[in-house]
Amino acid sequence: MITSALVLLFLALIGAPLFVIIAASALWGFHKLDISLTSVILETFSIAETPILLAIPLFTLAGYLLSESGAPGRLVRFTQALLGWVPGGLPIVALASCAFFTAFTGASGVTIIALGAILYPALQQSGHDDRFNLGLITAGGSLGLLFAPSLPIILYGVVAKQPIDQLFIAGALPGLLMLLVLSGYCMWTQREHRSSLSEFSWRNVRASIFESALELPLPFIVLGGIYSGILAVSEAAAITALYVFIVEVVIRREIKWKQLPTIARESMTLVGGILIILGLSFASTNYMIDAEVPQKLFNYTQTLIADRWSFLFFLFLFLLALGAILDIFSAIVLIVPLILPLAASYGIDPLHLGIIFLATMQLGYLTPPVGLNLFIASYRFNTPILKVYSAALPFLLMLAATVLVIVFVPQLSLWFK
Amino acid sequence: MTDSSKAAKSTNTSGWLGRLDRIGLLAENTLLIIILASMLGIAVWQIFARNVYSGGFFWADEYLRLAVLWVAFIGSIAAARDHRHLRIDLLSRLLPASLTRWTDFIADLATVIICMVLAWYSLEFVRETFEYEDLAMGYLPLWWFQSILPVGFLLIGFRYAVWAMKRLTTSPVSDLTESAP
Repeated sequence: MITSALVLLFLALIGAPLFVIIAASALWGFHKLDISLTSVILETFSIAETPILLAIPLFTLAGYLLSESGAPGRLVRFTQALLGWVPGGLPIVALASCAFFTAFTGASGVTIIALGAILYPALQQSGHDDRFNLGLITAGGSLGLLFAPSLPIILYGVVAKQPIDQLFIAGALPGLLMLLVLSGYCMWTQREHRSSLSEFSWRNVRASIFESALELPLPFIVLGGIYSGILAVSEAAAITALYVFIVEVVIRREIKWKQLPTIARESMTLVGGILIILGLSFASTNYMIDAEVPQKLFNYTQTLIADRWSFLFFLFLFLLALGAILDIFSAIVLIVPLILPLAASYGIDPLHLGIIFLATMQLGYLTPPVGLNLFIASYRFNTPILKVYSAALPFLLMLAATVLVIVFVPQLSLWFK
Repeated sequence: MTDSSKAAKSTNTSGWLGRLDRIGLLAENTLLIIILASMLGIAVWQIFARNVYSGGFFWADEYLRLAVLWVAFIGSIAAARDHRHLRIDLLSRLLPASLTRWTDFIADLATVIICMVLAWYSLEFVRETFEYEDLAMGYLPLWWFQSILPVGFLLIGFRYAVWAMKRLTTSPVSDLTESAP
């Protein structure tokens, strides 16, 4: 048992796909229990028996379509007209646009590529320090993770069997808090740039509203549809994808028809990568529950950690370390089934756990050595990775402090219950 | 973490292998477009039908669920082609290229083996459904729709076999396929 676990660990560390590691452990586990190995496939086939999963390809498609259109530029101009007059204006514009955009693209690194190309030169032009700009964009690239309808929230809802509409509400205040803290930080450090942007003018606001008139209804379609009870989450995803398609391809024609195969392929590559892990983990999770792994984990933890607050603190440290080596999607699928019963035994609400999980994993995007945003920024802005590490560090620290607040103040996530 | 490098472009094989490669790419893209379009159309139609005359197709929900399975597996095949399956990307960033060539080879080979095992049991799974004559959406054989499982694992395995071969045949210096995203 130890040997096979070590072999799998070795394979995982040298970069074998995670679905392979999960499949191997499931196959091995079922074999040990003398269960026919077709059960592994039967469990994987549950992908086709989980209706909510429809939301994942459709929201992802909508996000990729948006990022390939002119919507990022319009979004920045709209936010600029609205917030540009605030001291430290442009950085706050950048953060707000990133957060909005990431909610739709699901923090797959698309934000940095789509919005960074617009925001980075703009920030440079208005004379902000280069190191600051780099850190800002890198940190902004995963900022909207806690806002509806982000992909990681949906995935957590599927894995933890929690109502997704409630998770969306639970994520709102913590997400807003992150945005406010980083905005405050920008206002403070960039207070010299008070005059970097235009005065507030209703004419600009009107013009930018008019320009973005077709995109601005999106959040209302998603949230309004879900919370009025008219649409299920997966139906909201279908409406969103169709709406975005009609606006960006048919009406605005910013995306050419011949681009569609590439966009479909790019977005479904991500979706396929996530869902195949999810499918095989249905099998491995079943095996682990059969083998009473959560129970053993619980007994073991009980001897080490007595109370809820220390558990939350260790959970934070654990997720921080996890986020540094594992992407958020795999982490949700692999780790949530294990810690969910554990957290419940310490009296932690599964909704709060979800927000803790996602908020802490968000830090992983900025944590050296392998944070995804760090690499994308380094590549996209042609900057040595070490420089990106140090540029992102102050933002990482501010966010880490915020996440601690989110972890230890459950009311932020659970106020509506 | 994903390798977002466009590794697919580096496949400059010629002859029948190259042609097979392009046909595969075209097939993946075409299927993705068709399935996504049908998903969108049917899902939106269902909402409309339910709210306007509280009707809709009885087979739509099952179709949508099966379509998700198909999109997931074709997406996975596409990810395998570009070597972009989610993985822990720690050592490959830290180790020297001369060494990662071998660790990559081992990882790819392990992927091939596991995918073949999965493909084998998927085939078994599909055969069982075939024998029970289970139906999908009322009157179509369910095994048609399940067949994406063995085909998918087989093709993912094939892709990784190609990658494993490449580790051996290309020199580590010229292998740029897995630099930063």
